[in-house]
Amino acid sequence: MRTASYKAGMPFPDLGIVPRSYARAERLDAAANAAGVPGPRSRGPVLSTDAPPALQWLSDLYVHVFRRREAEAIDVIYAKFDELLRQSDCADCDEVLANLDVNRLNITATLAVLSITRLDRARLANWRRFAEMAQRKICREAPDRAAALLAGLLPLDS
Amino acid sequence: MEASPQYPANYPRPPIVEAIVQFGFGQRVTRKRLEDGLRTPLRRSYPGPHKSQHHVEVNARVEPESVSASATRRLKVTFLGSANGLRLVGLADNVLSIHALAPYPGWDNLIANACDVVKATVAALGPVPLASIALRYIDRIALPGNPAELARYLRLQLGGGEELGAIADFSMQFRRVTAPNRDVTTLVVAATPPGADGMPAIAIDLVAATSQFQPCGLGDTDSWLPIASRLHHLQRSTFESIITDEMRGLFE
Repeated sequence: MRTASYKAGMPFPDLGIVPRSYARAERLDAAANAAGVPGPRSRGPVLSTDAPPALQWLSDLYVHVFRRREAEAIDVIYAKFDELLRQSDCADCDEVLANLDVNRLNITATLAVLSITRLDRARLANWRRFAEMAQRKICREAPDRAAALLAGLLPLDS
Repeated sequence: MEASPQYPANYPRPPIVEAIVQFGFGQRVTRKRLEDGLRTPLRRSYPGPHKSQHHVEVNARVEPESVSASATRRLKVTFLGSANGLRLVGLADNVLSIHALAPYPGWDNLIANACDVVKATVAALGPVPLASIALRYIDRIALPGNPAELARYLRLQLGGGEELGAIADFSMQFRRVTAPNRDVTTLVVAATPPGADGMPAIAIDLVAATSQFQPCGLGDTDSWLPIASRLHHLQRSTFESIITDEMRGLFE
């Protein structure tokens, strides 16, 4: 008698870490199987880089900053944060702060985010962390002007 | 301190689908114990629906007169999710992982999330010895052209056979151990099905990991943070070494 054991699942190697995005691929495969969609399954990982529609504007913002389209970047920041802060629940705005990469913003865009969110900081659990990262970035990139730029926005305990 | 990179510090549109920081424990800590200990303290940051991944094992019994098979399904990982589901904490037997899904929030946010989760874990479970640290980045990159000319985008190539036609499918895997830290890099590059736009696409799955370091606990952030930074530098420099400038242009 011979007994063999096989691990079922993605044909991709198990690298010892369980990524969430591969689970998505498995769900897509399961859905396709259930719907009787013909074609190969799990030829490779089915992955999506598309940001959720609600956060697509973040990618646009980073591109505006990268291409030095400062006015467009500021417009996006004020329009989107204004929209998010009008919601009674600040959870969406707080999640944006948790996902916002200060290293992909320039100083002007960073100050814009700080200034528009500062009044609501008590409702934003991630504001303080964003502010600390913003402060480090500005002190690093503009050490001579940092105090003036951050006046009125920081210190954090005010 | 990380060496000065010879590549862009960041991209406006990185192709990262998922980034993971993972801690392996040097003593037995069950998934259930992690879940029981972390569910409440992480509820504010990770209030989203909890998801699970199961491990499916199929056993086939081959005998002279018959073949029979049975399958078992057991819970492998529980994910605690943020409100929008883009930040996750993975809880498994002896493993704690912190995940960021696209859009990539940047290294500073990812490692800050990891530090927050570690702090909560140490408060809930006490000092847990660390056995391994790993970073994993999974990228999906849609390539212009159909079929895409891989050589324009990837430095890794398997030459020959061009006369037989365009590449329909491929996968490559590399593993490297670097001295003196014994950091292990595992790289998988593979074709992945096209997206809704029909463009051919590839996945790049890169893990930088180590289990060779001075004994330290999960709470010894001063000990493991420099190791995580070193692995991040290793991951970035490895990724940059396998792509071309034309590929970099896709992320801008």
